[in-house]
Amino acid sequence: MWNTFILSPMVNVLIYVYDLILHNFGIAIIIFTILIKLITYPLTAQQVRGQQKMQGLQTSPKYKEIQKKYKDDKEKFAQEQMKLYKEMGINPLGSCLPLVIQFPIMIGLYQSISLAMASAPLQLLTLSRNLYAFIPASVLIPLNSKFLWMNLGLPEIASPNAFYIGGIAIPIMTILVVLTTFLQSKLMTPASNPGDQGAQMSKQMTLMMPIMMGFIAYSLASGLALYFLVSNLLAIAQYGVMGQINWSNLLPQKTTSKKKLSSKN
Amino acid sequence: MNSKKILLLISLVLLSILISGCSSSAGISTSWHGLAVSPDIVYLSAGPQVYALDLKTGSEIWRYPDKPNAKGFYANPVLTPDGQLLLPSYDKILYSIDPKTRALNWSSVTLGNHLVGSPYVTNNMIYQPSSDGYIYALNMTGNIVWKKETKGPLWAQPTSSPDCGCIYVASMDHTVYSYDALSGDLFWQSPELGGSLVGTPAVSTDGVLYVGTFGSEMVALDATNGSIKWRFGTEDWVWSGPVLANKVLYFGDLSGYFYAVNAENGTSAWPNSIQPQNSIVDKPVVLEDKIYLTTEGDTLFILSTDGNIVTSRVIGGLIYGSPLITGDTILVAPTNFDSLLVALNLDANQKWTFTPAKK
Repeated sequence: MWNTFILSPMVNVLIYVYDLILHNFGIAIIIFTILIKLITYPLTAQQVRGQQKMQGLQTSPKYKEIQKKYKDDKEKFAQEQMKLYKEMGINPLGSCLPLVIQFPIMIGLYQSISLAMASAPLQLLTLSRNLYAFIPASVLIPLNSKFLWMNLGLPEIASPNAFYIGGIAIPIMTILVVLTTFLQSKLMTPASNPGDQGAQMSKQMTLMMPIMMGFIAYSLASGLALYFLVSNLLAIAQYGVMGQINWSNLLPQKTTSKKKLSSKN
Repeated sequence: MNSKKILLLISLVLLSILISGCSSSAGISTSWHGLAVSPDIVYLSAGPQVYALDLKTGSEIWRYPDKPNAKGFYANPVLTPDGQLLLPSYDKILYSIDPKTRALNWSSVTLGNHLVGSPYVTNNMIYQPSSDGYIYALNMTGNIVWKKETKGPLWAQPTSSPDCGCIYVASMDHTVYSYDALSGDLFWQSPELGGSLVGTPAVSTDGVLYVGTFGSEMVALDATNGSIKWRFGTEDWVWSGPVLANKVLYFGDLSGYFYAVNAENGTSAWPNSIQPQNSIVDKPVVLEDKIYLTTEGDTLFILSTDGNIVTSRVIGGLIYGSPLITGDTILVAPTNFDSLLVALNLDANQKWTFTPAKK
């Protein structure tokens, strides 16, 4: 089921793009990532709209009023909150579902890049069985995995042309992935009260995600690092086009929270 | 149907797709099991570990390393004439261990990229193909003597022929190369053959090289200059090299067809190719007037050399690798199966199986 509906179509499109443009796997990954972002744009837009509505609700006087009123009765608060959602025509899962739908796409993309680079016999055998008849597989395999200084089938620092400074391989892609993931998390997090629980979680995610993505980009094939980088840049651009980038998140916020604390005291 | 039910239905479908995606083996880098045998011991590379087993009983003598190699699998092991067991590893290193004690003799430097193909050993030299496209010539203590680059990954075990002073290297760049075995100088390279080459070529005593291609062909090359002598079309990719016996080439393809082709002129030796079961990935073994063949299904087939199935034996799992015959024992190493190795007698009756104890 997975192979038929997700993996096979993805890997075939990826290799079709490779065949169509320059026979370079790096360029194929970039174009393929752009295609996926374009296809999933309506879902992203829906997700953003859902987030906006939710944010609007949470800052509304009515919401704050019931929050204050039922601060000691969580059950009642939840009931009133649901009433409010209905009144304002908000589906609480509305911003979540598009994200869930994108999950299989992300996993499929990861697997199709990994499969197309087929670095072991069983992977190549699997690849041969997932290719459609119109793909001239015998001519194309093995795919040209050299891109810039990387061999996309290898971790960046294991590529023969990796950058060295003082005998140490510098993982440039990993650094770029960490930076863009951090930027993405920062810029795309909606403005919120630093004191609330959601904001604390967002702050932790902003730190954890770049570390996790950096680790994956460092240890797995650099083709995946290239996908992460392009995907991050496109996500930032997409949010920019939708006017959702929150530049204020890049500014230090410590002073604000200190002020708030002192004013409370 | 109200929106909640639709939402639930969509969620369930997505969840099931996700679960099947997470359990998909598409991203797993691995290979099938490999075998090497000395008179009393069989060496089995099974994913991230190598086992030495008593050939008579199938009991485990040792395993190497103690804990599975986290960096990947070991390709088909090779025993050298001077008593080393060579273990090419996906972690890019060639290991030499003592086959009796499993003590490490030496390990090579990193050989560029993953090692998927086995080394070829001749005249006190080791020729190790690497996925970085280089063929590495090492001395018997693992030091690099020379290396030469082809334009594609090397997965096929190189080969040679007596007195040519050369080694033949089949590359995934669709080309066969012949190098001077001592210096690495290029003697010749074949024309583009229309598909990747991952099987070890067969060489005849009268100077012809036979190689299967992903271009769905068996191709015969002049071993002195690499020119094409004839081509034989198949239904699907030919993964392995052929076996040459009595001037007939025996090989299969990924659609499961099995062929017998006259080595001299490239015509079919049988009126029709046969299709015993599933994909045929590795080469068969020809012993006297019988052909021992495994398919990706779960079965070992014994064929007569005129193309009739004499008998078959269900082993289990998925069988990608060749059977290995030593004395009166057939060894078959299935994957996706509890037993990593099954030993049978020449009539295909089971002698023993090996299932590793958990340690």
